[in-house]
Amino acid sequence: MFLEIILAIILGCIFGIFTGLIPGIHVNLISLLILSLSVYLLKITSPLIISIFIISMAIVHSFLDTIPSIFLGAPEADTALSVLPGHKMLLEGRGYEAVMLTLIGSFFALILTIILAYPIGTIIAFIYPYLEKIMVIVLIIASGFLIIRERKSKMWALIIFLLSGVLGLAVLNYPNLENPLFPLLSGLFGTGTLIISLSEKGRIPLQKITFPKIKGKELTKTMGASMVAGSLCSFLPGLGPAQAAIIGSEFYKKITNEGFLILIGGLNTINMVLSFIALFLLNKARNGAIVVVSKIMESITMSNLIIFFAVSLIAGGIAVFLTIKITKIFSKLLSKVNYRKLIVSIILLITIMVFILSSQYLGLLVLLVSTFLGILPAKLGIGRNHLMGCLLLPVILYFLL
Amino acid sequence: MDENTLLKISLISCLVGILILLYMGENSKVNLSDISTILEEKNIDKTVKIQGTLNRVTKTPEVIITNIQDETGNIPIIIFTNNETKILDFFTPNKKEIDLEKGMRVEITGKVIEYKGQLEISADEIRRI
Repeated sequence: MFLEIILAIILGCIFGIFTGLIPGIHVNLISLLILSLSVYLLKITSPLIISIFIISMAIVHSFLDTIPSIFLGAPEADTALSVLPGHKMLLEGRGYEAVMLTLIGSFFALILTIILAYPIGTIIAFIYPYLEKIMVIVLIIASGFLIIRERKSKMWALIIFLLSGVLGLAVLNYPNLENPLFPLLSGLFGTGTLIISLSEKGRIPLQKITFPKIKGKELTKTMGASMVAGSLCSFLPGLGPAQAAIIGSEFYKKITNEGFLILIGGLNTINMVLSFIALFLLNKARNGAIVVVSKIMESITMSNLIIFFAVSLIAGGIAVFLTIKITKIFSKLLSKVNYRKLIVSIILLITIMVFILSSQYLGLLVLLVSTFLGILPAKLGIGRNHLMGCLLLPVILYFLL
Repeated sequence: MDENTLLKISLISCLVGILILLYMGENSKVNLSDISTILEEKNIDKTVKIQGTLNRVTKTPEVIITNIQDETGNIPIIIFTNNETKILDFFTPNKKEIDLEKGMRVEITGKVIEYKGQLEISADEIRRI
């Protein structure tokens, strides 16, 4: 049994590298594939071992997915917001530092969430019935703050927020569009940013391999904000790390790029670990990977939950090592290539992946519209985070209607 | 904090995870029980392990219903054939599957369930002993 578990963790880590690094290949996609093969897999192994494989893959994925987001500008829903500060640091030769900040956020959030699982679970189980009513107000206030804080033009901020919100609503409710978030977020935060970068001449500067210096106070504050926002968002339908990041950043008067990257990394992992607790306490699956775990396992017992935590600690430890090594390779490779050629290749890669994974021409149409909308904030000189309206507005309306 | 410190903490995290897994593995082993001690409602949903002799075996395409007897009592056993329940011969090293017969001595691991007000065991694994 023990050897089977270790083997499942290793295999999960290998698949996690694959899903974390390739834009568009999400852990949910592989989990669903596993579910469809479960009839055959259960003949050779147990539901617990399959769940351990999925959890290891999801944890490693949650650590590594910031690498393509920061280095290639190709994000997923969970990491979309990291593109903006991450890309800025990349152009300053600090891409490695940017990934390390998300790594620190992810790893410490993993340990903290496991240590605090019991009190968080108890509090959430108690306030859960009231949470839905509070959350919509929190989200509306957070969105309002997002727009009011815009210095250049509050009117344009509101227009961009609403436009991306309407686009989000249309795309998420479009029938027969597979993986709708991939073309939407790649366009808004990825290709939009990359096309603007095309006008910048030269190469990506030599990437420095220096570990970021973080003050204890900054780390404590960011972890605190991550834990509160992550706990609130992980238990409710439709909410994820992206919405939690908007709420979490409201706890600050002025959040630095570094602090924001720690926050994003942390929220991404908190969301995954707390989803085990949500499944155990509330019998609710909050993300694709956990939906598959809940379908494969008949019920989750306390000992299953402890095993999931232990597996997360092991996978998280391995993911730290993997993230450091892979980021160093990316940093070295990136400095050697022609920046314009690289950007064109990434845009092509995203386009091809969208064509394959998101209902072909329909996905391309979403990518095209999202890209144009993604270019607007930079040209108007306002913050790109207003584009998060694409996820915030549909969730607000989901709670209200 | 530097890279080495982070790597050291991640190594500790891996070791703690492995230790928890080893501890859980040791504690999740199901101990052998007498049938009389499991015939209580508080045991519903618990996984138990019992040894005894099969005194009745009824086979249908979907389910095998049997009854196991030890010195302290007896309890019905239900085996859902589509549930991949393993029926093994304890003495064969390659864990060859066997047919259940009346009079056979077996060790059964399964979950205590309630059906029509009566406790029974839904078997996960059956071994001939």
